Amino acid sequence: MNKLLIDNLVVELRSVSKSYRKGSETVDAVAGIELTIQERGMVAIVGPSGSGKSTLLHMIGAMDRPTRGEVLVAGQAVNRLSSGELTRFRRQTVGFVFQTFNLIPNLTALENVALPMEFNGVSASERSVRAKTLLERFQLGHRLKHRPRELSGGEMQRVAIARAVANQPRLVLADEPTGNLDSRSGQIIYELLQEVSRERTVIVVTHSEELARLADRVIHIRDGHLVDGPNSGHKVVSVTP
Amino acid sequence: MSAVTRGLRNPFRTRVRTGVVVLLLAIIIGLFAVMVQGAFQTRGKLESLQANVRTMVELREAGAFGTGGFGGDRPVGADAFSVGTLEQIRRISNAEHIVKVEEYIHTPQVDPSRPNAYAMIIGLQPYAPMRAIGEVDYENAEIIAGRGLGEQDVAQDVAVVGRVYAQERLGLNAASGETSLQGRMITLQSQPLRVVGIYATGNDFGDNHVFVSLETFRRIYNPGDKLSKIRVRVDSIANVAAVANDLQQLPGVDAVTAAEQVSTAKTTLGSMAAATLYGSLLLFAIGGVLVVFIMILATRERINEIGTLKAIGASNWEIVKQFLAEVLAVTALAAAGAVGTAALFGTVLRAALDLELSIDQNTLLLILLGGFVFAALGSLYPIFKGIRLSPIQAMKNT
Repeated sequence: MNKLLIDNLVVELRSVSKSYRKGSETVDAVAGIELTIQERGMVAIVGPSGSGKSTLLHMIGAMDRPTRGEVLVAGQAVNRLSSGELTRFRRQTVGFVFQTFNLIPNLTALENVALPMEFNGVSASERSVRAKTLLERFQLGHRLKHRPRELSGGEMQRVAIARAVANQPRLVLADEPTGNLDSRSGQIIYELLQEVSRERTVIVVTHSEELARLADRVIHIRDGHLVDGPNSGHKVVSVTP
Repeated sequence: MSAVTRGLRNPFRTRVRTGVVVLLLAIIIGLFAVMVQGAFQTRGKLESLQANVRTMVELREAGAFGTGGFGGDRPVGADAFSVGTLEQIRRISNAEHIVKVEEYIHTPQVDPSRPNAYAMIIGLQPYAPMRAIGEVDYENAEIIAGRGLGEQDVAQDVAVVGRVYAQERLGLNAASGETSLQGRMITLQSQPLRVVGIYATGNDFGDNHVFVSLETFRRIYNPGDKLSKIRVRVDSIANVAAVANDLQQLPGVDAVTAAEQVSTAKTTLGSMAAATLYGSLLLFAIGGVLVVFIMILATRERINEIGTLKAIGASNWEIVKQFLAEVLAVTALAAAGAVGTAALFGTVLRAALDLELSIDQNTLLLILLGGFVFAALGSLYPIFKGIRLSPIQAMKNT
């Protein structure tokens, strides 16, 4: 059996680096990261702008490939997956929440939430019921037929979270999910992600220490490296140095 | 909702932009279809004209200029070229005559007090274009004062005179802005005619004519059995040379070859065909610029959307399906508009160029194809770019 499953790990990063070419210069966005994250709970990755936290998240979510090292998620070596396997991975294993919501503008809230299920082969009737249930659970039962432009920022992000969990993935990745929201809406989104994290692992990228305090575990990152953070008062699940 | 349904709905997300794009595409494709049809028809006409005139021989009175008619001051009725000529043509095998009386041309001495004071009097259907006989060929007459002849002038005692004629006979210098025709009269064979207009062609020879209606000409000059021209159709190209030779032997007859006859028409139709062809190409170029413009407007947004779709699990094929459906939706909208444009411009061109333009099966096919090409160019570029990027690269695309 796979080591990840034995240890109840959902994410394992082994010496992961990501470099970019910037003109004639090579920039290391993430350098030699070793990290494990266990099933369930909310993990916050905190760091200043440009520290590499989003790059790390994208590599965990198979949105981007590492330059070196290995990314294992839910038992799969993500950087060795073929194009078709990557598509299935994004469909079934991870759900993504973006800072700018990234809802499809001409689809209603219900249709946006149903979309990943359509890609996953769920029947039309079932995905409609499931999408409706999710939106009602997220207090958006009255917004089912509304298009993104008719929703507030907080409502759009709740639709985005509903879409991220539509296929019941083991991992939800949220990249600055409150970056475009006021503090009240941001608080609601964090509480929602906390709720979601009771059933699955939620990894949130943020630069807000205040919001990170709501997480079960906080990972600090600076200049592409993990640093020990002030973990007192937080439940530390696992950190592999 | 399937990828196809999403794609079909996509054009309606930004209605104003889609509306502008569809309108522009409709105009471009509709005009393009009409112009291509016009170009083909003009070329068809040219080919038909060439095929037809190769078996056609035109007969004119011997020594007469241009389309034939009355030579010099010979008395009317004394000429050999008349209805009697037709009977002689009938005796020539492989030849079939067509009588053509479009205009009469008479060149009388208009001023007995001055030697060599001749002018050309042309009788024609008043609605026909006025073509003066210049030094080497026909010249289009352009009205520079008053008006030309019209339907209302059938059998009326009115005339349009040339610039030189007006200057020499009426003392009226129209070229210097002297254009008042009030009370201006000329007299032909003792018949007073009111001058209603002055024309110019650009050369003195062509500007020394008088145009009157055919009926007025007949009343003044009484041509009787006289004909201005006779056309003879030969039953096959192989017999043209022999028949032309036989015709040339008839008394008082000049047989004019097809090549001479058709040269002007060929030039005109050739210019029309070239104009429509170049017009079509120009429209295509404008369409290309438009498509690039649309691409610039929509590419970033579309590639970002492709990134999102990939991030939430869409396969490349699902993305392609969605965008192809969108292409079809834009094609259908643009084609519907283009059919309307083609119908509108077809009517205009039909009236202006005398072409039988209609929205037939080929035109519809051309419109659909044109719409698809433009819509595909505009919509497929983001796909080709977007599906090659990772989701995050696509979402960050600028």
